[in-house]
Amino acid sequence: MTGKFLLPGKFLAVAAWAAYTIFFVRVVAHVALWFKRPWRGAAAGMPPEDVKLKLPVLPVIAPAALEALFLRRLLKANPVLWIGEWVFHMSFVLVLLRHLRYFLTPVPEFIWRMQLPGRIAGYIMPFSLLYIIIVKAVAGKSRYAFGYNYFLLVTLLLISGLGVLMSTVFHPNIVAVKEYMMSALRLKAAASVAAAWSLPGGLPFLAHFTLALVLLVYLPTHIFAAPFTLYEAKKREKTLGRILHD
Amino acid sequence: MPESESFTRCLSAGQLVELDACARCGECLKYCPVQEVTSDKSISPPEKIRLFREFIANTEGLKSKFFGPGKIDRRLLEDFAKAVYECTTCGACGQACTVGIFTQRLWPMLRREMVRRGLGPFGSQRETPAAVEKTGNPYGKPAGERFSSWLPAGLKIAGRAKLGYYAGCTGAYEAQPMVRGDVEVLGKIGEPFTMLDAEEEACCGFPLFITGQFELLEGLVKRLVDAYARRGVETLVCSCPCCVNMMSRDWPPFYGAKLPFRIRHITQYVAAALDGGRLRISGGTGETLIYHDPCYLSRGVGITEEPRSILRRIPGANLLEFDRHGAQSRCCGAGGAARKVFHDNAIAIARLSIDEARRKGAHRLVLSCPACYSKVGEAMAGYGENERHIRIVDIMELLSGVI
Repeated sequence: MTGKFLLPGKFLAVAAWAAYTIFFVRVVAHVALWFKRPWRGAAAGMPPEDVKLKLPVLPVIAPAALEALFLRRLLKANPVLWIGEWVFHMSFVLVLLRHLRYFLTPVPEFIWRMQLPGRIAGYIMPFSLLYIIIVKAVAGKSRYAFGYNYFLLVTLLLISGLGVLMSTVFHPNIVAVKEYMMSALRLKAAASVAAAWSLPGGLPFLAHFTLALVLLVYLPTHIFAAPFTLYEAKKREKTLGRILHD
Repeated sequence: MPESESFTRCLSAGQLVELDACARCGECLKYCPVQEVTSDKSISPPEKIRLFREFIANTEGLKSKFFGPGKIDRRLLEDFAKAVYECTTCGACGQACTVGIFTQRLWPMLRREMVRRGLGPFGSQRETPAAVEKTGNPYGKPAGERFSSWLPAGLKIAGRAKLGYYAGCTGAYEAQPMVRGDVEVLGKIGEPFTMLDAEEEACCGFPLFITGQFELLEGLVKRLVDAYARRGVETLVCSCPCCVNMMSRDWPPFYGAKLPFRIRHITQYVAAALDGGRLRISGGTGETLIYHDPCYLSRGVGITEEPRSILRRIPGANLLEFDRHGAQSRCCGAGGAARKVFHDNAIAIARLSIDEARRKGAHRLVLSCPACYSKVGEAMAGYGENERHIRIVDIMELLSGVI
């Protein structure tokens, strides 16, 4: 098996480095573009907004964090879709935490504790994605539906589906997978050279990991931009009453 | 201007983050009034954001850094500009936005970028700066006639007073019963109030701001603020939500300092007068009323309770609510300076509210915005003789009849 997957293993290791680089450069480029413009006010030629609309950070950040955690704005807008989205986002976080064991040595205690919840979340995730796809497809005729969203959903569905299959049917050698991740992806010669270049887990792992890299490259920007806009929206909500009521 | 010129000059960093934050979930489409009457997804909020992101990526994105700016199809740019101007800027999409994008502020800035590139504004909007400069109002009507057709003869207007009243262009020229109601109610309250002369009370700047034409704004705002300050005004009252929004949110930055007076919507001042016993309602009505929240009053500056508190005080009045009310209200179709350029959309949108009000059995549709008053009135006039009409009335016009 190891010999058979030596070439894909090399290819995937290089692809992973490329995907990491693209992701990093993409995030940096976006953030750099943000900082090219004045942070507040209506930009070009306009001074900052009225001081009375300023608020300390702490009283806003907690409710904004809750809003992000429970996707409350989506709940208000579309409770039917919200169920699927919230379950998906929560299970995605748990699965990510579970996967940290492949990248960290020693594995922190809390990551060990996340293994069972992460495993359960991994089983739930494909169903939540399927539910979202169905809800969107049913509403799609009357609403805005963009191919990119379906591409992401289908990619995630395939990744999570393969994950479930590996956990229940194929059972790849976890130790070998970790060795591969540690040596090939972290550019760390912790394990043998062979481990860095040979791919464990066969085809399911190859597909699972390749799709994860595709997802990383095409990761939607709202993942890192939305926390800011949710915070700003909460602040606006809290200061709206102050504009004419002082 | 070359197409490779930056698309981000008119945006703040926060607005660039907002563009990146759009998850393209499409939830906003359920609330967009233009979508409701056109069903044209190419002019939907997420599609506009997606296209604008593409323009930015083409000129300032990673690919453009390595391989040079990409070519942007001129036709696509023109279609985008039309989509941005077809919007009523009601902000309902932002209110429903699952990631909280402040679209009521974002769209005017995208319009400004289109103006900078010579792709906007559209139709009569192009004449607004010249009209404001020449006549002081966006309609190009004679400045001397600003108050003449509606200001009651014999109404006492002080030369100097702590209370100032700004009528606004749309009220003065297109919704006179509304501003007449304003001054009659103010007169009844009895507190001395001042107004600028007809030639002096110029446009607040909103039609210029909302169409992305910023050049005259600073001078206009400074002239108005200084004029009210010279008259000793401490509280400036106005009934037009767009003017109130402009005054409270945008006058300070354009003036370059904190305003020397407070801004109040007339319903705030009148509700306080009713609370304090300075104004009493003597008459009543046995009618069923339904109140429409103007977008720039509810979502714009958070005034939703005061108009209702006034209406609830009218003896015999039965107050209904639209399905979407308060901060979730539906646009009347007149917003964003689109009502004259995209007239058919505006009429179709106005009819959605009229039809709901009729369905709910209201006798009167109560408004609190001159643009709504003008457009909803126009839409009402288009109904057939056999269809049940509903009376359109401004809140101060209604109140002035029962005090």
